[in-house]
Amino acid sequence: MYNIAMVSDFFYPNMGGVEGHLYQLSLMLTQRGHKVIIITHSYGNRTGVRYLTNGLKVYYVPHMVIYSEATLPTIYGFFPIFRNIILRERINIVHGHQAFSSLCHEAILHARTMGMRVCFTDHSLFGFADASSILMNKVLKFTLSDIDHVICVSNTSKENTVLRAALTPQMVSVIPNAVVASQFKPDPSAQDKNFITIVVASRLVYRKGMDLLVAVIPRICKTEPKVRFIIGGDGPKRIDLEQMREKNLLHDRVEFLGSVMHHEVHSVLTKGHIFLNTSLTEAFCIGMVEAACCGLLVVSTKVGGVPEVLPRHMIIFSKPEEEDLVNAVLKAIKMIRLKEAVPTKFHDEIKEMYSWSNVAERTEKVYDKIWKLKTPPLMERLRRYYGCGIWAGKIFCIVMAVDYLFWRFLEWLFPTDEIDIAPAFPYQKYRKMFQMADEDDENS
Amino acid sequence: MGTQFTFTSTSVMSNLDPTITSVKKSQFYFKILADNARVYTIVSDQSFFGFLDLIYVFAFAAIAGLTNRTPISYGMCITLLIIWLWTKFNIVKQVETVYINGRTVSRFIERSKISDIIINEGITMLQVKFYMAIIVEGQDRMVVVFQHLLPKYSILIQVYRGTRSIIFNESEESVENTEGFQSI
Repeated sequence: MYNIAMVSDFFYPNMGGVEGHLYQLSLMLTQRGHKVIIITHSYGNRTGVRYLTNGLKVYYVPHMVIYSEATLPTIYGFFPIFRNIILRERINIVHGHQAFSSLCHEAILHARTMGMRVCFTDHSLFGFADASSILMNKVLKFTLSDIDHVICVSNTSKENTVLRAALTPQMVSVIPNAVVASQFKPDPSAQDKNFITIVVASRLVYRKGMDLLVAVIPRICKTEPKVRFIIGGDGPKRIDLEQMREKNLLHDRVEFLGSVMHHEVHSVLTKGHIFLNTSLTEAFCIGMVEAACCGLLVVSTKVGGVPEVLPRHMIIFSKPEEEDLVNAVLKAIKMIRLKEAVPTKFHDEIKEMYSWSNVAERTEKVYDKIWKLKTPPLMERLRRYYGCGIWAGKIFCIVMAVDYLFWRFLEWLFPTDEIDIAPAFPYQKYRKMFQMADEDDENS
Repeated sequence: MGTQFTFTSTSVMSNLDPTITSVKKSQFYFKILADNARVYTIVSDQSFFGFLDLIYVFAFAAIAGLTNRTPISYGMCITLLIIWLWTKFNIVKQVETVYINGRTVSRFIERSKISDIIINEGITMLQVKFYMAIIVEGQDRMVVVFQHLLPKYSILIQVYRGTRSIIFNESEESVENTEGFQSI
């Protein structure tokens, strides 16, 4: 049984795909018998040690945040507290998430210096051409030069990551995201009998194809009189959508819900017949899976990892162009009207296909694989970093060497035997108490 | 009805940083005075002058000897002196606060007002440490015992069990079963 530390900038109380993934995966791994802790940075007043469900321990480390919950990378500043946490919890494996999280990169570097096994999961796709992507890819190349294994959420994401970081494909596994099927049950009574409802639920930003949406909605509303739209989510592009509504006088046909909380997503989705996704780039769209699970027919642009997510009968594809998208939506409306597709049956199929226990099982296999690997000696690590580029290689080697010396210094300053070992959460007892409480409820 | 709590801590802080205490050479003992009274004492002895002071002296001597009495070197010497005095002052301040109260920091907390006694973990700048705290009704902040000393977990758990057994009338064995997991 392994002691695993999940490290990421993004965690509760922030809500999102990565956060949900971390939480569910950690819960399932705890149920399988491993010990999981989560290290993230502090959110406002929320610093220190907190416990979530199933005894999941979360360390909120005080840090300086620059923008949108991403922290300032002070590479060595994080090392002392990180080392203390790793030693007191007796961690063997460090698992970092999301390339945009600087905490993750630092943690992987330090864990490597300390001789731990490391693993990395990437949740998004990146371009290669714009400035932020070039910088990000270089940082990623640095981190992934010396890593045991990488997990991607779709085959497209695997290709993307292998190209960006110049990895060997054997080192990359594909483990898709999953969905908690019991939270997304279909509810035919919530659907409107008179109108066909199209639901759009995403952040209203450029990369989610909001410009396409602005072009498509008026055309569909003109062609089909008995169709209405529900748009959930918020973002900078909301203004464009509202202007479109004003210009075409669609106040009764288009409804804005604003930001939707995670627990309200189900009630929003069950109101619809069709789910529309217009993203311009997507590694793995969990929103589509949730929609199909609720019994909606999905219409989506064929980009990124989208073709791998749902079987053909649940989804209608289109190119990310206005004309093609309009045709696809009209086709979907016709299919619903003529009852050619029965979306309420999708829930049972999705339940079989996607489950978090499956993800946890596959992740455990990855851990078994990296457990057999030996940590490379210092010389080998220097060689790996040196190959990153003409200038970058030398800089990375310097960074890594200073990190090693800093570790040695910390070992002298805070000796290992002086660090109190934290007692483990008594998970078995906790489960028993819950079972006993359930039995009491049933008996009484 | 009230119970007198006496958590005696006499200590001298580490030179390096007022927030880091090393309880390397510390003694922990408790006396059972009567059926309902116990005194837990943690004593740590660390000398006022340590290894680090030698380094300060060396640095001082190096600057004074090697440079040529320029204003900058005078400035450096004076800065060094000020830093050294500041670290000493912190020690004196800590010890003094204890001295002012007559060598014991004693707080009186009413038995009925004690909601719970817990061991929790807190993140300081560079470490995660265990501390034992008393939650008092009506107060916003918990009362942390052994606040500056922050002893090791093995010591803390004994104090925890002992106080719990007296205050909540639990036997020592039953307290052991709940070891390790208490949080607010």
